[in-house]
Amino acid sequence: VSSAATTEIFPVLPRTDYPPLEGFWEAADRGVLAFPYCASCNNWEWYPGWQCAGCGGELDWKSVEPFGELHAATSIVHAFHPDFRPILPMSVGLFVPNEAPSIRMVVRIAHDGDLPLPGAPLKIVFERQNEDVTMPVAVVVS
Amino acid sequence: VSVWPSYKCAVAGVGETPYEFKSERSVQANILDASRAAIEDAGLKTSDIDGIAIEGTIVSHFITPDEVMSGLNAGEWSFLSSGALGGAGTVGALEQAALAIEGGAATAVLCYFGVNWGGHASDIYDVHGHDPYKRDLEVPAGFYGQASYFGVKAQRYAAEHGLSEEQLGEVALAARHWAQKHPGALRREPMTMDDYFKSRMISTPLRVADCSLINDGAAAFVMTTADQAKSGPHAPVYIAGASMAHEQVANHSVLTQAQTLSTNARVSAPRALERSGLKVTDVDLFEIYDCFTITLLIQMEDIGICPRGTAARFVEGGRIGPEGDTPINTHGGLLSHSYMVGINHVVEAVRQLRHEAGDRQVQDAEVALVAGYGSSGHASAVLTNSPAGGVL
Repeated sequence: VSSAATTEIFPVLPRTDYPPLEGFWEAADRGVLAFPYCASCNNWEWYPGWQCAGCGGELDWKSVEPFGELHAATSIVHAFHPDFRPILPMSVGLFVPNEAPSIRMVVRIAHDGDLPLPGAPLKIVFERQNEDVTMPVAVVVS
Repeated sequence: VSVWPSYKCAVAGVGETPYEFKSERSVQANILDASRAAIEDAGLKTSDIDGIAIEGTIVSHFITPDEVMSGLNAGEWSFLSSGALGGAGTVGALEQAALAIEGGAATAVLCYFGVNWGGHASDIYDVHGHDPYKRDLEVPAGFYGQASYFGVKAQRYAAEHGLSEEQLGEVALAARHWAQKHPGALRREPMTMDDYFKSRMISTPLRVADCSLINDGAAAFVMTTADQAKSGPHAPVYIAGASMAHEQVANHSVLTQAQTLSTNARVSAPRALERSGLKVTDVDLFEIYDCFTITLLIQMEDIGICPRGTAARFVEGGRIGPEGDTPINTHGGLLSHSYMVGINHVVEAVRQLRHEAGDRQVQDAEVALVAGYGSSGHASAVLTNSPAGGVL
């Protein structure tokens, strides 16, 4: 059972028009977690460049189940930028998808109590911010 | 067959400006001052300099090589190597310069570095705002202050190997205790473990005391052939061996996608030692890039000072401090001496090997290993005051 929708606040939003990353945001818009994949090399490419590093071919976006585990997280206490100050402390970590374990995705983590430890089971949920941007958030699966 | 020019080149001169949290002088003037000091220390004239080897991605924002050389009235010059190794760059410059000198491209090579970051902290709209991967995949999540990257590494280290806050504190305390013996260090006030625990949390488990300083200043060194250095005013410090090593992973991804608990010191340090003909157990002191306490622990394991997963226990009891058996960052490092992005580590190794380090002198020091960490790139260099190769 995972938590329902979270209420994470994102004071700074991404652009969604950098070509190598457009597929990520298009999938997120549909509530789907997807990463770049080369079928001929059987290789996930993250962060994606402009072609498959193995063969020079095209990368496709392949969806994965939104489940995985925490590589590690940190609780950020200091306001590196004043826009984030109202939401501190915030927990940020690296999510490893079960179906693509070579990938580590940076993600905000919504949780109660202590900071989740490495290995904690996580699920990615999506929170729409505006017409163009839907952000992934990790919740702890209990 | 390796043709790496071990022991054929030397650091002949070093120079530093005072380090200050906010300098009254411009960073450009500081860089020129440090360069002049290093050239004079080598017993040379500015017109003797015919080559430059630098970390170019940071320092050239402030002053370009042609501006430095014209500013020094250095006349015509031949060789320029401007690297892109970030925090590893000034250690990498030792190799760039050695190859240039031994290859006949230059006879006297200047390396300089300086910053004015004391007065302007970087923010998300600087480097992280310009890199599309960081701008889109990391900054919105809140992952962009350097301490947050290394906070994640420390949390992972704790899970895999065990890591207490006291063990991180040991690294901070050792740096401070060394800095107290260096008249030029920025942070010389006493620090106890209680003080460490009172230090403000930044990104768990890293506190202010786990983070490098931010300050102004500049430093430089001059390299020549070993023979020329012998005729200078100071004992030569020979480049026994040096090596750069680059990750397979690009800079924008290295902190999240490369090995969390290893840097390319695992490649550069053994290769520099191999080129020198020395072993890690021959090294009398280490000057290791310590942007954060955890970064030092990880590189200690990469270099082979202690086995994988044991650095946190190794540093207990002040073992890397002035009273310990393994001197590391004898000037106080980036944590307590100065944030000169590693060139101060090179300068300190030279001072130790000249036996000019005063109260902090490591007795009978013959061999030093300097390590520079720059995300995707790493560089290591083995320096010695013995032309025969230290303990060989």
